[in-house]
Amino acid sequence: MAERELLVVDELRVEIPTHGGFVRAVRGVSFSMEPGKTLALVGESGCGKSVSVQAMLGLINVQGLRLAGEARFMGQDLLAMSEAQLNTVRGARIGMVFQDPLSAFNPTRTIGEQIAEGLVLHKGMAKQAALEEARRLLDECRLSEPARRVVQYPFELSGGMLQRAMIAMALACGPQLLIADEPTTALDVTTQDQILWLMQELQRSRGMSILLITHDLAVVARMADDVAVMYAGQLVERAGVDDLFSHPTHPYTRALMRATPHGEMVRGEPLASIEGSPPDLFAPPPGCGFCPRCDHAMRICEDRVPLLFTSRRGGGVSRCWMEHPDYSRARVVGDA
Amino acid sequence: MPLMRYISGRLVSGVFTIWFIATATFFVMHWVPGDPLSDEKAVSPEIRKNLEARYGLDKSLGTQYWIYITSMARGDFGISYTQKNRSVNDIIAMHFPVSAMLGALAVLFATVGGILWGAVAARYRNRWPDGAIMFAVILTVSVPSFVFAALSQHLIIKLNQLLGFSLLPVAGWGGFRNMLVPALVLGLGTMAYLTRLMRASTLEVAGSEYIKTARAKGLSSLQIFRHHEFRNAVLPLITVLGPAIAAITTGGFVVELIFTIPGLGRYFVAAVQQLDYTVIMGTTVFYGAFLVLMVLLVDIIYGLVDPRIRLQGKGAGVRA
Repeated sequence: MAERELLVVDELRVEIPTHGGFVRAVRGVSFSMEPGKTLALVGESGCGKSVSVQAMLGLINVQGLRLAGEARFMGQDLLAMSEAQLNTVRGARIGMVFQDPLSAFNPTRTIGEQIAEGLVLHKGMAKQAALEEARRLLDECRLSEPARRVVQYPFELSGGMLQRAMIAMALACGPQLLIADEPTTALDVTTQDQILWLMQELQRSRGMSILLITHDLAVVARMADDVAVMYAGQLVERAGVDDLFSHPTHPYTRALMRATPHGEMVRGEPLASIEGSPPDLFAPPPGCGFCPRCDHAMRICEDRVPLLFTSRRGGGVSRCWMEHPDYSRARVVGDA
Repeated sequence: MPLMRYISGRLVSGVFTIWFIATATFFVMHWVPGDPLSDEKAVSPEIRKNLEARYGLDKSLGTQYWIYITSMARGDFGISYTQKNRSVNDIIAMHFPVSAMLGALAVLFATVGGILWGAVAARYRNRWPDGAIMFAVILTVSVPSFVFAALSQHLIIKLNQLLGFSLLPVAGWGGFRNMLVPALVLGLGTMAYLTRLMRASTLEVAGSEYIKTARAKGLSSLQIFRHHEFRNAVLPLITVLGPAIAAITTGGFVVELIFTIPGLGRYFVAAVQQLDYTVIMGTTVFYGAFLVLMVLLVDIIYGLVDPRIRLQGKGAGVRA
């Protein structure tokens, strides 16, 4: 069955073995991506956003890792693939950009060599042709003096320059999907802006999809078409970017927005913080993971995990009992 | 040129190191009870006086030290006390090449073996090859080399008996066949040390972010090992190669004795027993200088291999 979606993740579960037992890092996450669109995966550190994506691509190299669910990319389940099959997808049809560009490059090999490597592997290019293509890619990613960069080593470039080089590396073989895991977190604000702008431009010219992992709502607002908010290994809200920002439904999403500085703030106005901490993922609570920190928590929230209900306002879904169709009768006026 | 300045700086500090070694050895040696003449059968006080005058032992310690240091600076280590009419320079020139050849082969065994075993152990981490290799490493580190030397001689005899002809000589010197087993025994301890280091360094590299990048590029684990892990894991080993050479050359004394190899080590041990002042001083200072040079050489090689160090002098490493 041919799917319109580029990527469909269905009930993905990841459990990572540690000395203290299994960490239930991802607990049934589902989302899908359309070709040419950008999906932002948002959430705080440890919510499972990076783990979901890395597990999907087989990048978590831990013995005894438990994976369940499906991740269909162009109709094929990535989780069912052998390592050899995955190697024909990784780097070729899915490119990946990591958070810290300096540690993501091998310090002892030149930028050019590291970009050319994928081209030789997936496109069967000769070394020399691949290096020339690497130069062209660096140029496409607006890196100054691309011919010189090809023969330079990672430590000779700044963080912003390296991030451009990493984007060039991820795009080398013309992937349909670019996964960017906190691509601007390690960069200063002006460089962040340039990198985001570059990604938008490349998406337009190449028509690829971007899966953007971030904790920064400003980045989300600027880049995303759709947003998936994660909390404690679960998806708590999924919506189009306009819906999400105009009608955030899940209490966690709303708390996140209150905790983000914005343009209309008055000098001296304190930022709201989200009191408490996320639940223990060794033994996740039976109910809603956010309920101990939620202002609206009800008795049912402690006992049962809410389903993803269609939001009452806006077009998204929200994992909150307040969105249950029967909730409105008991609802306190003005609570929305 | 920064490299030349670096090398000359290191050489100057090397001279100080050697001077310190010479001075320390000189005074410790004279501090030990007895002197080169006291070991001989009882000599009459007159003869003893004559001998002391001939070797300069009647002068004050300070004067002796001054004479020694100045002639050493000219490259003259003096005449042996126990081997009549042989200069220390002659002894070194004749026997050091033997030690050097044995040592070089041992270093080769140790590095190749260490890298190989370490890489295998890391690749099969926590599986049986890793366990077996690490067990052998602990065994090798804790058993002194003379035990392995005697054991290997025993095994050679058994092997030759089994074959009915002499495949390998038990002891003695002359040709590659004589070097093989002593070099292996000599390099064993260092090989174990390097194995452990290579294993740790391979694991560290394997856990780094850029290996994840390489996997995200679609490289197979063998390709990643060949193009990214191996080379970066070997780099830290180069830094300990200097001290490793030191360990092997000093360890050589015992192995040379057991295999009756006419290397410098045997003369050194004999000289210490007989308090042969000039030979002790000569060999100590010579080995000191040799090791200072080796460590310098290793550091230069490391700079050539690792681009982060190689390029630093060019002022190209501009980081924002």
